[in-house]
Amino acid sequence: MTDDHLYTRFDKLREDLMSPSTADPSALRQAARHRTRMNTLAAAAVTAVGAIVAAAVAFGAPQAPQPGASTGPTTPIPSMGPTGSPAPSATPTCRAFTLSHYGGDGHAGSATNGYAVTNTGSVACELTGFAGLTFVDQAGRPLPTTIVHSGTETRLVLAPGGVAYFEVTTVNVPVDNEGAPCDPPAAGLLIFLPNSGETVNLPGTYRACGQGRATMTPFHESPDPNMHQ
Amino acid sequence: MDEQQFDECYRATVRRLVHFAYAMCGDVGVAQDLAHEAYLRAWQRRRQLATYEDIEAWLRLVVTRLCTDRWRRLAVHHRALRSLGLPESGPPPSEDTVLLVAALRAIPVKQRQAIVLYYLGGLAVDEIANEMGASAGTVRSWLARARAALNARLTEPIRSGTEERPR
Repeated sequence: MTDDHLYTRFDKLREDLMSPSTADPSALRQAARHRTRMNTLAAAAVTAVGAIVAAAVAFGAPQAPQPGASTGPTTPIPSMGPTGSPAPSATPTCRAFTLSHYGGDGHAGSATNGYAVTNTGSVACELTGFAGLTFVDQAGRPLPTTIVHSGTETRLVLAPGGVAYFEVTTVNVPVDNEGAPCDPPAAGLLIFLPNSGETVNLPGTYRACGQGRATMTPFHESPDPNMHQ
Repeated sequence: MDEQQFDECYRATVRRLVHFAYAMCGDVGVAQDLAHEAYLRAWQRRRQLATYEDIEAWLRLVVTRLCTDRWRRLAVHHRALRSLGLPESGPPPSEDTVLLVAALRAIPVKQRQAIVLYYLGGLAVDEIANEMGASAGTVRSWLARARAALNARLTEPIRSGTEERPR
């Protein structure tokens, strides 16, 4: 067989699949956001348990520091401060902070919200990995929450007044056999920082389908440009 | 890579990528899924990909990896992709194409990847070497072995091509 015959055969393959099924690329982008990544699922399942436990403890003693209630692995991670300079190893965990909503991006089926953590303390502090989160009802009781971590955790050092960002994507259509429409909706979102006893409750109506699935990015230094005010 | 760039990249490359996935994996439905899985991952990693010169090569790499060893373990991804509402693929491939794909599946994956990039992708030996991280000599060797293997399996001349070419 000569090259010509192989070219002919591959031409035929191309011809047979002249019109492959294609998707609307915007649907692809949306599906990418919604995707529960398998490579983070196992870790996330463990973390979700940790997050719920941490939330429960936080409810019991909201002011108490919780050095043991980490939501991520405790393996040391190379320092990556916002300035690019190595962080001193003795940097304390961020405990004095404010949390604000800095933007969002809505889609059919899900919503992404961006949050900004500002260090309100007088010294630099450290943020590692992911924020913790649980949906709560009107009485402030935790609702089922399934955290999915998306991305690799980093360690940030926030100077006084420094800001870190993270995004949370929630699903607002029923998942699998969950049944419509994932009611009652959560009445708040309780967010807490790793290794910190401080929590912030962001009131609002959140449809949290998929057993309260929330896909979270790690803390990062710049706001996500896809978020809208 | 912003939304518009991603959409343009998708529209410009999706057919070629599905063809490539089909030649590598031998199943039309799986090929569609793998190709779209690659685009999903591309969008998830758009910040890194923005620095790459050849996104299509990256997409082919993802497809190759998925179809050679990972896809079977990712059954749940089929469900996620079904939510895209991809229409059923068109008429089944001709017997000639089925035979070609079966023959491709019978040869080692490196040889398959090289010969598919060469004949279907239209890449030069040097480009294949670059994409596969091998020397040009190695690629030529893979191509020669793959040709010999396909020769042995595809003895019948193709009958229904667009034109008859001399043997």
